Formats: sequence, structure tokens, C-alpha cells
Amino acid sequence: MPEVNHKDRTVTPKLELCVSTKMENLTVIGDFVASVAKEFGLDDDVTFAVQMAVDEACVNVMEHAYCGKSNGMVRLTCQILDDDLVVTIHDHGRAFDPQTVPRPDITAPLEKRGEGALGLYLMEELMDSVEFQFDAVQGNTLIMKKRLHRGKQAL
Amino acid sequence: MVINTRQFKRVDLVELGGRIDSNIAADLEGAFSVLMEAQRFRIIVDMQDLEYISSRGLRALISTLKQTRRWNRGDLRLCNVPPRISGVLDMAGLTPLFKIYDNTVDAVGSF
Repeated sequence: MPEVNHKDRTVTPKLELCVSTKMENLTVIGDFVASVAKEFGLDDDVTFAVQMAVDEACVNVMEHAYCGKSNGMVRLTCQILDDDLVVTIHDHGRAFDPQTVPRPDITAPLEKRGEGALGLYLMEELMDSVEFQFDAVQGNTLIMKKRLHRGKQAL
Repeated sequence: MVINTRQFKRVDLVELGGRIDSNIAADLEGAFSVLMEAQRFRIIVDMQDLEYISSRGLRALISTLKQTRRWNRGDLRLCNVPPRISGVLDMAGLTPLFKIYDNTVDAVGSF
């Protein structure tokens, strides 16, 4: 994809997907991320991290923000801004406080496993930054960034 | 996405391939519950062609591991784990919980 260079800034066009919150669309979202990765020439490690983090973020929107209802909408945009791939996920479901969500204890014995928000934890581990914004009018926005090692990029 | 279950005399082999996203993970939960209901408690999960597995898929592995270990010599073991999946297992602190083998033959022979 041609990139625009604004005084040494690298900015690609935004690629966007807007789908309803039915669970089957997680596969559509995964395919979209794969095509974005191809378009932007992302390496396999970055592609893997972003696909996983986006899947976890979107299933949270479907299950928690929209309580499993399939008639909500989720909008995903991807763009390279300088050295980062920036992924934005937007919805109008219920807001939540990410601080109060318990993270899993990854050193607990087997009996205590399976508790805590493993998806949210993995998003935070896989991406370089994960930031939630909640607005009563604008809706919920999640911005995740992944640092790119541009020397290796095919861009 | 691939979820294939093959029954051997002493063990069941669950082959995973492609992307086990949070939607497809429901099929994995289903495959494991079929084995649990049939009282097949010796399971090998072959991850050879697995591209990624969501947290829901990981929770299915954890919950099935717990169930199998309640039975005599029951276990859920992993083999052919690709490097990126191995990285996720490490990230989630799951590596120490599972017996992990380099190949299917060693995994089957371990039971």
C-alpha cells in the first residue's frame, strides 16, 4: 500500500471493517486482520500478536459490552502511524472499568486456573499499549498499538 | 480451522489446525466434552498446524486437563507445539501445567 510521507512521518490510509456483534463474525474479523497484515506487509510475529489481541478485544465487546446480543455493531480500524500499527475498536455497548477486572494469576496451581480475564491479560502482553476510552455519547473506544521494526518491513 | 479427533486404543488424539478464534473455540469445547462423556480421559492435543488459539481455547484446555487428571492415569498432553503458540502458553503461565512432547509418537508412547 502506498504510504504518505508528511515531513518524515509515515501514515498509511485507514483500513476499516464494521460488522455486527454475532460470534461468527470473529472469523470475519480474523480474516480482515490477516488481509490488513498482508496489505501493510507486517511480519508474522506482529500479525500473530495483532490477530490474537483483536480477537480477544472483539469477543469481549460481544460477550460483555453487548451481553451476547448479536444486533450491536463493532468497528475496527487499522493504520500505520510512524513506527506503530494502531488498531482502534469502537462500539456502543456497555462501558466497564478495566482497572477493576481481575487479571489471572498465572502462577496459581491447576485447581485455581481458568479464573480471571485471561483475554484482557493476553491483549496487554501481546501489544505495546492498550488504552480504553469510554464516552456516554461517542461510545467505547479501545486503542491498541504494536511497535513495528521497520527495517524488516516490506512496506 | 481444523479440529479432528482420532481414537486410538489407549488414547485420543485431537489435531488442531488454523485459527482457533473465540468463536471456533466453542467447537473445541464440544470436542472435549464428547471425550469426557465417553470417559476417554487420555488425550493428546496435536498442535502441528495451529496458527493461534484464543483465551477461550486455552480455558478449554485447562478445564479438560483438570477433568482428565481426576481419573487414574488420565491426562491431557500436548505435542508439536509451534513456537508462537508455545510463547502464548508461556505468557499465560500454562507451560508448567502440561506435559509437552516434541512429536506425536513420543506423546502417544507416553501413556
